[in-house]
Amino acid sequence: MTNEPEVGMRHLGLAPWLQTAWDLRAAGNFVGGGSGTGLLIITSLGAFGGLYSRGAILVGLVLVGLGLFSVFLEIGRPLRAMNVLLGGKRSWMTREAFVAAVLFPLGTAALVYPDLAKLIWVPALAYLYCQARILEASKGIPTWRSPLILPLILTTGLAEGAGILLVLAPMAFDSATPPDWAASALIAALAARIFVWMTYRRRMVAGEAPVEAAAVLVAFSAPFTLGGNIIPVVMVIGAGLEPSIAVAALAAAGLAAMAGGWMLKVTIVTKAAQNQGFAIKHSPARGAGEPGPGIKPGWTDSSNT
Amino acid sequence: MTKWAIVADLGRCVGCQTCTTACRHANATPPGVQYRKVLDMEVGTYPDVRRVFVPVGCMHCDEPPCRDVCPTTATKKRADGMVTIDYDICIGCGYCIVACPYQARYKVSKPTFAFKGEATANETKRFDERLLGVAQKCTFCVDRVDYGLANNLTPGIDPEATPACVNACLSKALTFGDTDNPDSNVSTLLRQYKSFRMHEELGTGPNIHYLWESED
Repeated sequence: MTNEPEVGMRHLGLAPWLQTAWDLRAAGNFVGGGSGTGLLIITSLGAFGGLYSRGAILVGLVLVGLGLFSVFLEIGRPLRAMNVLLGGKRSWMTREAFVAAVLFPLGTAALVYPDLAKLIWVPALAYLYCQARILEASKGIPTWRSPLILPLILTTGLAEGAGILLVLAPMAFDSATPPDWAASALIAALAARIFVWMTYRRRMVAGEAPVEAAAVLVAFSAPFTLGGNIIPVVMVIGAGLEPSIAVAALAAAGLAAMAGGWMLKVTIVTKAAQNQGFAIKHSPARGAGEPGPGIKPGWTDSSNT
Repeated sequence: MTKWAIVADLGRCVGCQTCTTACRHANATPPGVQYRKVLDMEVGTYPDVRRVFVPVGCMHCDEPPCRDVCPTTATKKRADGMVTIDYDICIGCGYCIVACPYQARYKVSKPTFAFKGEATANETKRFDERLLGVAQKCTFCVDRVDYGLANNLTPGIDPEATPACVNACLSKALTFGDTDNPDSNVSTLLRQYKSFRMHEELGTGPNIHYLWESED
């Protein structure tokens, strides 16, 4: 028996502080699950145009599996892990597990029966949606409970998936150059992601998130916008202008888009994850005194009026 | 119906932390875990500055986000309003911890004690291995309340049936009772004083009410 206080278990004052219940292991679930399902969705939709890649499907499933394994490492009682299936009535985490039970058998079957690839997008999209709702249901973390977390997780998942498809193209397809629509899908997903991100960031900074969390998002915004969104678009345009560098440029664009999405989720889950903190609406009257204003430490409108 | 709640009179609370100590004794919570704590807030700007002591903990919400996210159904809400955790089902995923806007939940993975590596007699007596690696929080002393009800005692009135923090409060700032009973101690206080609840805008329906001014 030890006497080591656990990090983050101290009484941390009044203003919102960084949650420590979910660390990189939990973020890993959103990274692997988002990228994996994004790749599966893009690959599955591509199947309607004649695309079939066992490699892409396999990588998608592996990424989702790694994400689940990552979060498995976080739970306190791993031997009870199957209890996660009990809460389907309310919990999006349980629903995510239900969908995984469909996604993996279907994805595995699609490795053998190519026609089934056209169906994978359904459970993959459902899985990605569950992940977004998991964050949105976390009422204790203002940057997660924003309704905009839904489109943000969905669009970044698709951008990451399209990016990984471009990275895999030289290995996954007969032709080293990926189909034209893959690059177009990446551009569309990046445009949607950056639009949602800008709106999300603006609302967080405008007072929907604690000051400290908003500062993290502001600091992250420039490198994310440039490195994870603008540079990939420039690379895709460059690939179109100069065919001799197309394979490398598209792969680099995909890698940058994927890395940007991963950093986005790591930042939101582990860095811009300050909790609600404490607040009072009024100060009490004491003795013959008069009541006073309330206080909401750590928020832009700290008067809590 | 019954709906248990705590009324905290902010005008009475002196920040002595006796409730915190009583809670820690009753539950033998490890270092860093405080089911009941009292915040020390400084409000205003010089020269109009005041100190406010605010008892906080699990609010046993009407619509508890912790229950809604729990993937195992370990977190439940009883008919009398108490939010409980089944330690034998919980997997310790921590989802409820990030779902709670009151920072009321904890997870401890290793046994830890107040004084070095050795447990005190009270810690040894009350140590519960089931709490390791799972979520834990204030129970409103559900065992005391249930014991009292089974023995025709009135929670909030009879000390044996009342949460330890409320019993210990030396300034009578904390009151426990049934808000569904219009004649109860807490209902009477809520009629006599103006009150608010913390983060009410989040729609959780918290059941710790803070009194801040007399209606007179």
